[in-house]
Amino acid sequence: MAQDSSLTTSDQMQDLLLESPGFPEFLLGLATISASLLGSDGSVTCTITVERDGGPATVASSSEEGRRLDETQYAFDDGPCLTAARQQRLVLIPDLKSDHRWSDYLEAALKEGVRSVLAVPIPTDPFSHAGLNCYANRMGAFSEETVALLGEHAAAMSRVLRIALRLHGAEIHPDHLRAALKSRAVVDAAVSLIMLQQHGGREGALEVLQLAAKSGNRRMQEVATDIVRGAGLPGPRRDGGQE
Amino acid sequence: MNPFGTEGPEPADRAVEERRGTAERFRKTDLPLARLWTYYYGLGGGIDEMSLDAYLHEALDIPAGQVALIAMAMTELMEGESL
Repeated sequence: MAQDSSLTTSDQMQDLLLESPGFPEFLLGLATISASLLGSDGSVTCTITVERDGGPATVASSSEEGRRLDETQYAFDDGPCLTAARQQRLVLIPDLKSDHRWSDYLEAALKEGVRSVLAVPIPTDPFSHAGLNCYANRMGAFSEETVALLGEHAAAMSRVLRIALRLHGAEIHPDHLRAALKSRAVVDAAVSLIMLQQHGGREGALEVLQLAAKSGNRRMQEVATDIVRGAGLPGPRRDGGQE
Repeated sequence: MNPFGTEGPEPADRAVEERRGTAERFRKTDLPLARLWTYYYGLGGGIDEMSLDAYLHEALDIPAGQVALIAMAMTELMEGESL
């Protein structure tokens, strides 16, 4: 019986991988599947946290409440789920009222009506870490059996999640995006200046930048930066400069 | 660069050559498309990622200026990686 359901789940996860337009949608699907494993009455909320090197974390939750709980954890930059994800170890809190770790966070969680928490690490790759977090509104909601079930589930998720990280990996590199934005701003500013001075078009201005970069063996962005800072135009005076 | 040197410049042929060269270079680099597009955007590039993809698969012609920017983006990215 348990085997049957885990088989269906892994099929579901594969479909999810194929059908999700982006990484956040994929994670949301995983969170929903996980929550449905724990019962259909909605008494348990599941969230999944994925942190990548140098990037912001992606959090997906099967309910609005779960999203708030995870955000609170990020505000404290600590909590059972972050511990599970970052240190890759299982954290079980049968009763929030008698647990004294992460006291600030647990207090906030209690206010949201949470009584017990289970956070299971999901192994990924060396550049990221992930965890599955389950919140229940009654104490002792996670039996030994449930813990074992979720351990297996996390192992199954690990496989699809690693594929998903690769599939959607290239798109989410905030450092590269930031660098591109910065470069674009400088290039555009330089292009505007060149156009204005030469009464020329955009294509021609970009060409001027490229030629200057090539002949000076420098990067286009460096050339553009110089121009924006007031260096003279590296005008290709092919016609000897006569106007 | 141009193996068919002496004959007068045939813009269409040259474009085909260049496109093939760029596409081939791209395949060799193992560079993710999104990474290349993002960098090319940073250099002032003006076509969308899907068109870039089509261009690199020799399924679309794009203006010469854009071709030059794509080649430049690839060169700068690869220099960055070998540093």
